[in-house]
Amino acid sequence: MTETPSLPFGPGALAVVTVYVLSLLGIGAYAYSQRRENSLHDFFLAGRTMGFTVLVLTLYATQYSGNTLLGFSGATYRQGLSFLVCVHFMTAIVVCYLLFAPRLYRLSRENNFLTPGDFIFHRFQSRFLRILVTLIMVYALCNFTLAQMRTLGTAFAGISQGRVPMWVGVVGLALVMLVYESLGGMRSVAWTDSIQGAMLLMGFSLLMVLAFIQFGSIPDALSKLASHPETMHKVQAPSAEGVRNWFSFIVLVGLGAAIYPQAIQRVYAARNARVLKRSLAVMAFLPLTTALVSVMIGLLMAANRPELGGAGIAIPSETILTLMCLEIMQASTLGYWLVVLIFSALLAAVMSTADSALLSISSMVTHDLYGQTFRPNADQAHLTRVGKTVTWVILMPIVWAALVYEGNLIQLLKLKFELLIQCVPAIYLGVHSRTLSARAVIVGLVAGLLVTLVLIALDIGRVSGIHAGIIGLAVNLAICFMSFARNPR
Amino acid sequence: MLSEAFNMKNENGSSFVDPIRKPWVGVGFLALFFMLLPIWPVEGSWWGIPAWLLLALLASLLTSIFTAFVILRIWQDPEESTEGENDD
Repeated sequence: MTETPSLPFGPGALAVVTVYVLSLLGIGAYAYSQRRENSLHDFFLAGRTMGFTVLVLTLYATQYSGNTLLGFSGATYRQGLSFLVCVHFMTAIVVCYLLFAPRLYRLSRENNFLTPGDFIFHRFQSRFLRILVTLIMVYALCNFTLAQMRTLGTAFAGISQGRVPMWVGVVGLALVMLVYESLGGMRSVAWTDSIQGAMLLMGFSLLMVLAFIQFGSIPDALSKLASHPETMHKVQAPSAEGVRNWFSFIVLVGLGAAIYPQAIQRVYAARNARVLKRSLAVMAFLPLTTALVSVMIGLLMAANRPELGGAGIAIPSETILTLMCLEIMQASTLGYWLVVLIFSALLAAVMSTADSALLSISSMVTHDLYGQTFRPNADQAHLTRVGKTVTWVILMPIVWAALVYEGNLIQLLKLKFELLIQCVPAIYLGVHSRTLSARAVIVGLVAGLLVTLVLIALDIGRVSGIHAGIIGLAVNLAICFMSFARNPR
Repeated sequence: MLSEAFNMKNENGSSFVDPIRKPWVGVGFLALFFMLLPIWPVEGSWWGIPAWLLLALLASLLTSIFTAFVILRIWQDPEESTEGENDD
């Protein structure tokens, strides 16, 4: 777990955070009272009634995690402007929705899809492919949830200052998440996401204003970085390999994050096509208000506090946001309370991303694996009960791993997009092509996974700046296109 | 299996339009994708900011505007005209 610098939060700040966390339970109870029927569709898709405000905020809160605040600013601090690619890959996610969402939405209305596995089975009529895609997606999401729980620990440590043991905080917040999620399912998650999304947007805006007041303008920061030989590389345009790395990042995250199951389920859950279209149109602009803010924070800190990354200094760059907050809160009372809000937003960002991922895992395990494979005749009430139980059972080992596990398996867990994008042909091509066969998709998927895993096992994470997962995807797509060539009609 | 859902028309006769099937939309996104990569032959700074950085941000903004335009104006779903006005 990343060591967090101390922030002098008083009991008042802790009380604000506690009220916020408890309000989430209230929302869970209200969502429970609003349920319409005891069915999987009502529990996991909120009965497909999500309106514009809720949908756009839940998409936002789900897509922008604690990593956006901590990880992106830290990466910019280390790498400089070459990490501006994060703005591009977050924009690419919305562009990639356009490649499949219009058709997938229409099909989901016609066929009542609940999970991505429903589309896979509808399109390819292959149980094996459905299970394979579901297992990859569950794996990617468990990994994603684990990362969020670790960030939750970092954020909690920043707030509690050791007054409450970290494990108590992480377990407590996980329990709160489990309770509101078990009560209201997608309704709870989407409504809490709305509050969390609004806090996140407000937090990012405040952060930018405070950062400019405290550390000066971006041109000043860039000029400082350019004037020192040690930091000059942080303002230079990427090299040829850097450009290839941008290309790889944009493709990897754009294609991968758009097919996160929780994102696909939000496409299914939209009240109507107009709501979905308006929400995605707003999402297209949010990288400029969120990822770009993280980049600017990283730059301001790199220019004004360059020593943090120096040799022999043990402060990890992921904590630079916390260090910035420390300076801001020490400067004034207003700054203190604004930092309380920002840290609450950080907590909100982590919880909203984790709860969405968890609900999605639960729906896929219950519906695609348990329901379709082992109990095809089970009634909806039974499956909904199983879904709630699965949520609890899955989160326990994830919380344990987030708190204590540091073994070699963690390296494997860092793989997420690399494996998830091997499902790209099944969804992106599957939704458009009538001739692509299940066999070609399965062979391509397995080949893509093998190539990716072998490259990573050989410690070749990138080849000339291109991620191993993209090379695996190229092999995967080549197999699918060969199948097209052999069977064009 | 895939085609039936896309042949549906609403009472106004409007049918489903998949934006990515429009060639000019694909060309537009491809051009923007290459614009996003920092490969322009520009040097120096504009208003204290490296020119390549400003162009990268401009490309990102243009991508967002084009994406929103395609979503709102080109993508059409037959469900739309039968919907009520309240989206919340």
